Amino acid sequence: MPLSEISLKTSRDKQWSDLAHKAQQGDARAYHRLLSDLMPFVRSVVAPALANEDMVDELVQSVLMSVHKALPTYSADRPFKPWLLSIVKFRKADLLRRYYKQAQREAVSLDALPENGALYVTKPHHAGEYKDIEAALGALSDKQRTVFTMMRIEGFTAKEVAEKMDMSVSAVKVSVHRTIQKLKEGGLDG
Amino acid sequence: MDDLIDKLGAELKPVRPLIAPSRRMSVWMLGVVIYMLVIASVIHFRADLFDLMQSPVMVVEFVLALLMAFVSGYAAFCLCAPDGYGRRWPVRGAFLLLALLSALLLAMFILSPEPIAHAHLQWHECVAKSLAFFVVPIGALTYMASKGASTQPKLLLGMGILSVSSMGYIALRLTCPDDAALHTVIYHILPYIFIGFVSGLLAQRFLRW
Repeated sequence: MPLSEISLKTSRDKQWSDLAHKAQQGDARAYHRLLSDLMPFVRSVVAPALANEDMVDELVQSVLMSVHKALPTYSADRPFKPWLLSIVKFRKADLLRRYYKQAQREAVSLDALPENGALYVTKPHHAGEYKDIEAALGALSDKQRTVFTMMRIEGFTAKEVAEKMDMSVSAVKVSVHRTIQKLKEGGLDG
Repeated sequence: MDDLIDKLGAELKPVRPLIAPSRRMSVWMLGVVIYMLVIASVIHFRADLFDLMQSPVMVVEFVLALLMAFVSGYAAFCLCAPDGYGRRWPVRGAFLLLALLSALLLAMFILSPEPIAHAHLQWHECVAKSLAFFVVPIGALTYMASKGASTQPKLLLGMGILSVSSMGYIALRLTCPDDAALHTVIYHILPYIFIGFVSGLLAQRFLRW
């Protein structure tokens, strides 16, 4: 590694360490700068290992919140980056564990599917099987239904939906989360 | 994301950095020693305590257990920070001491002339004593550890349990007059493995953050 790169990395660590130390003393401006600096760094660290942009966003958010909670455990006499990367690693494992657990729970064995599963809903004697879901979606507000349909059925990302609907990305995520909760409460989680 | 940063910034309050692990461990260990001495006094120390301390094997056993208690306790408090204070030697040291103590106990067990003697006489008493020596110190450690932010909560609890078990093991040896190897293994060690496992499962939830 070139000497200039090493010195850049060391100075960045020193800078983050100073900012964290000031943040511990209640300096909101230093804290804001620290979190703003950390965000692209954390993103660059986690992005290659995750499947999509939403997961990256979720993990970066989770890391920033963890940095906030763990701030008292940092001491200025230690390098900042190993402390931060431990949190990143921990939260990444947490996210992936939840992801795979959910994927496992939602997985359906091929044996459990009826023959010609793709044609299942088109058979006349199965008509109405999905009426509950349609009715539940119908009960949502127009905006909520549109956001949910775009993101969960049509496959748009949160960012794309946010742009189309003129909302913030976090508002889109909150809306989808609430819709899912509502559907679950209506007994549609199975 | 900017909203989140603004929100976190608005929530910022001055925080006091966590005290160094050596100091936190010293406070906890002092409490544990006092607590165990009080409990041991209530239970009564064994009558042949002075003779017991003349045995070199016993001294080695006690020194190893004491070292293990300190090193694994220190490891537990280091693990309260996400990066473990950048120190790996305490965990390695604790495992090394555990291996040495296990080897010593195994040798004592194999070489014991009458390993089965008195094995069933005091099991209720010793299991109850194990509980008495264990529950409060591990509860205190879990509480203190919950003030940190561990990224290895299982290892932290494992180290804590090892530390408390070592201290409890010494306390049991000082109060129980039965030195038979089988008795030691079944009633002085197995209860700690069992209680340690159960308490580890229970305590994990307190270390989530």
